[in-house]
Amino acid sequence: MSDDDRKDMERRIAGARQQRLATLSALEGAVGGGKSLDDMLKKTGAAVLGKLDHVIGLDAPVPKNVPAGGGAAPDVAGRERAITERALTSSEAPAEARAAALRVTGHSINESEEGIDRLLAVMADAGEPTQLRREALRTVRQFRFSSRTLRDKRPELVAALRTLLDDPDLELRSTGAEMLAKEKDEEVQRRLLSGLAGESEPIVDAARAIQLLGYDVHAEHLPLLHEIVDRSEDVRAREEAIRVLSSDPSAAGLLADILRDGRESTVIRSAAAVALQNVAPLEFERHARAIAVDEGDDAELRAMLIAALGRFANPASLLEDTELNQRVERIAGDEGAHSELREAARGYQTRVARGP
Amino acid sequence: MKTALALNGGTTATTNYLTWSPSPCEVRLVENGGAGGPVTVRLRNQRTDVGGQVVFYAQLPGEPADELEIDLPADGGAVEIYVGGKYPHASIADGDAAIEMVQSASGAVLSVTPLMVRIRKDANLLTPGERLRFLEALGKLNNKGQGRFNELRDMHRASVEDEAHGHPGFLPWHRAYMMDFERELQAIDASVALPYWRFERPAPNLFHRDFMGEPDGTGTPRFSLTNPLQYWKTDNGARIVREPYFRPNEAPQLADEVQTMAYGDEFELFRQLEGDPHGYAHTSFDGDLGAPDTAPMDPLFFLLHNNIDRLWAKWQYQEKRWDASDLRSYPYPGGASGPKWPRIGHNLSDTMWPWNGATAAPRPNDAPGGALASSPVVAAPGPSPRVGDMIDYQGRLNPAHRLGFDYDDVRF
Repeated sequence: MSDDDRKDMERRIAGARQQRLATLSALEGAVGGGKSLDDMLKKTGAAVLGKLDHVIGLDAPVPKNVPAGGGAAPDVAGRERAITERALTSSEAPAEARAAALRVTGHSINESEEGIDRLLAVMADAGEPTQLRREALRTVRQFRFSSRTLRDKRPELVAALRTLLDDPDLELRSTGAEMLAKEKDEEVQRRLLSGLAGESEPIVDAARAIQLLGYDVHAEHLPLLHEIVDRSEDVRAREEAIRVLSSDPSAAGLLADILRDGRESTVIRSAAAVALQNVAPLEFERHARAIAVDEGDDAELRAMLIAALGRFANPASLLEDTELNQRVERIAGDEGAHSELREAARGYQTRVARGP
Repeated sequence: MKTALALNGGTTATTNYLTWSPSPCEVRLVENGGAGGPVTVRLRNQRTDVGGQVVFYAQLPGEPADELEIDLPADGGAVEIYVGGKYPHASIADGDAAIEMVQSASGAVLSVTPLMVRIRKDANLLTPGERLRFLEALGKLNNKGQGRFNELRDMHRASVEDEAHGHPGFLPWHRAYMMDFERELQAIDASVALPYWRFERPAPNLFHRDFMGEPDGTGTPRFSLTNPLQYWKTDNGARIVREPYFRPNEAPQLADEVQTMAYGDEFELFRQLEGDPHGYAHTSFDGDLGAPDTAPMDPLFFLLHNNIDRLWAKWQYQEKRWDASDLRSYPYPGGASGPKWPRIGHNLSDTMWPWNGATAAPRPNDAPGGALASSPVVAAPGPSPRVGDMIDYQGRLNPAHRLGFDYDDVRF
């Protein structure tokens, strides 16, 4: 960015500010005046910000030849707050306009207690349009990063999110459950487990439920997870459970059995390898080595394990492993070998030669 | 006749790393070959067709030049000049740049000093070599979820949010955080610079099995068989949970660079970016990135925040905001010198947790990680940085303020 670049950026900034003002005018008309957002945007000639595209399907170009020096009108913040308030309260305005408005101006209430209370209420209200509620939830998620006021409203946030656990909309249920899981909320943990155990209607599918439980694994969750790995026919759920068991040392035996079982898929065996490496590194090395030298085993799995041995195993002990090194050397020089297996072998040789 | 060139106050290769910002360079005669008086030498890039390139400054302030002629005292006294990377010619590998010093009279090459113009780049545009070095260093830093990575992760928990979020110090704190992280990577591989995820643009090379993982629709990023991130581990075990709301050949919906710059020409207005695009970048995913407490469990977090820092750097360049005494650069000097933000840690003169080791209320009750990592290349900001130390990151007001990083699209 030379001075010419600064001037070009100034022009583009001025254009962006003009574009924003035009969009605000369109939104004011759409949420306040009962007009169609489409009509308002055409009337004001507003270029639609990318964030609105998926809502109303327009993609107008950025206005050209905007003079430099244009700046935001001083009342932009006030206009944005007013638009947000109308988006959250105006039941007459079309849902898509309310959602679009919230997307564009919702940030204006991020430190407003009243605004956040209203936002949480809309999010939790099954009588509001789903499109608007999803946008409200998106805004709440964003506020988790930027709003001190929302941080101080954790009880209200949790209460509002819990109402989503029984919502008919999957996106609201799933995202609400994830937010609660990250808050280590006991209610969502109870509901997820209950669904997995078949004791109640699941909030989300089994794999997703296990994924969310993984944010705060308790000892009492483990038997169910072991059982799912051992017996479930749901491949995704098994894989997810294996990933969560990567924090459970008592799962080492189960994980090792899966890793060595040639009847399991490569995806499942790979997941078990990663998990076993975390809970029992030495046992992992033993099994990884045995598979790495077995030319009858799956090439992709062997590639993954050879790479892992080169990264994690003690280089001194690897140097002494004549059988492994000879096998790796053979693979590394075999142009007909599986390409990723050969790449893994060469990477192993480089790392081992480099030493610790 | 022999000469020596010392970059960044050092005489070993560990200090031969430059950014766009001018770095101190000492040049001297080591053997004067019987010269009775000063010897005139010319400094230049050894090659101009490949690799990183440098420019020379006879003094600061001053204009950069592709070559510089100086007189070296015959008694071996040092001549101090400055050297910086020549924008936009960054290195792609360690030692791919070199300063050649020739005797002006004879044209004889007296010394060649390999170096690297080490610049933070768009992750989607890295070469395979750059990507692999970064991933290997990242994997070693993670070290199966142990050691230093754990401490870096623990700096960004929900319990400590007031240190870093929702207050003006959001940008300075995260600049220090990214610097700490990058210096730890450089302690493993000095050729690594932390790349950034330019989230307003599609990044198919980033969301790829060979890099940060390809989304599979279920929240499990899929890695190639030899990708070090296969074994990424944090407090939740060996897994990354990440599912984007956008396809790899698309970008998430958030404020783009120009819209972000348009927030305003004063810091208090510009810091709206904490909501959009920062908050929306995080929440354009289901999974770890979607909440402050869990976000650093995903290595993509560090590339996301590096882009936030790049946007701040770009805004600083656009609006010329490097002077910490200018309230438009940062409006809360604290103390008696001006407006004061009520929460400690967000005024210019405040030190920043956790690097300050402060654990008395209202600070958190522990401070993981200890002092901010040092660098062999620069002395700033020291082990316990202040908010104000993050403003003049290129050393424009004082070369001693340099923090040792630059971005590929923000010049000096």
